[in-house]
Amino acid sequence: MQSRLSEFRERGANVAAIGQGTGAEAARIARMLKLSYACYGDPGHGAYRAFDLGRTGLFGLTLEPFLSDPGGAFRNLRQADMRASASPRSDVFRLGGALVANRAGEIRFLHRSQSTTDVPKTDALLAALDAL
Amino acid sequence: MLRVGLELPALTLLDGLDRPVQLASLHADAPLAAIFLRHFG
Repeated sequence: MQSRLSEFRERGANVAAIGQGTGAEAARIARMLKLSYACYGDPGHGAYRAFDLGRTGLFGLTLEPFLSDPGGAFRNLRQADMRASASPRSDVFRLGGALVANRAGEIRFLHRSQSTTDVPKTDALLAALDAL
Repeated sequence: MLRVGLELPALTLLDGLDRPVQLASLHADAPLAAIFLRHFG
């Protein structure tokens, strides 16, 4: 998303990342990844639960990504921050997702990742913004 | 279960200074595109 941030800005959208952890941990990861959009913490995982984002298992976390999507698995491994993964607030089995909402707060796009390599497609998010 | 067409739930997140931020404030002035990171690792 960072590399295509200008396309979100052109569409007048606010862009945000949400992660499992404190706000300070969110700020740290934003600096580490050189994000130029807001990154928020959700230490109690309430947002993840509210959106019914899934969890994987040990097989889904370790072997399955290398079998189904080796490129994505290696990309995840390369970007992994083991210190952050060890945080008690970080559920490494939790899967991610993405959403687009209009100004009224209505959800217009919602993606729940089905695996660790199932990353929401930027084109899909942009298309959802175009359709508002 | 939340789905397209429903309203975002009332949720509180924390900004980089650990101050509470309402999810609703993120779409008050513009559409919102948000990603949920798997974890901070």
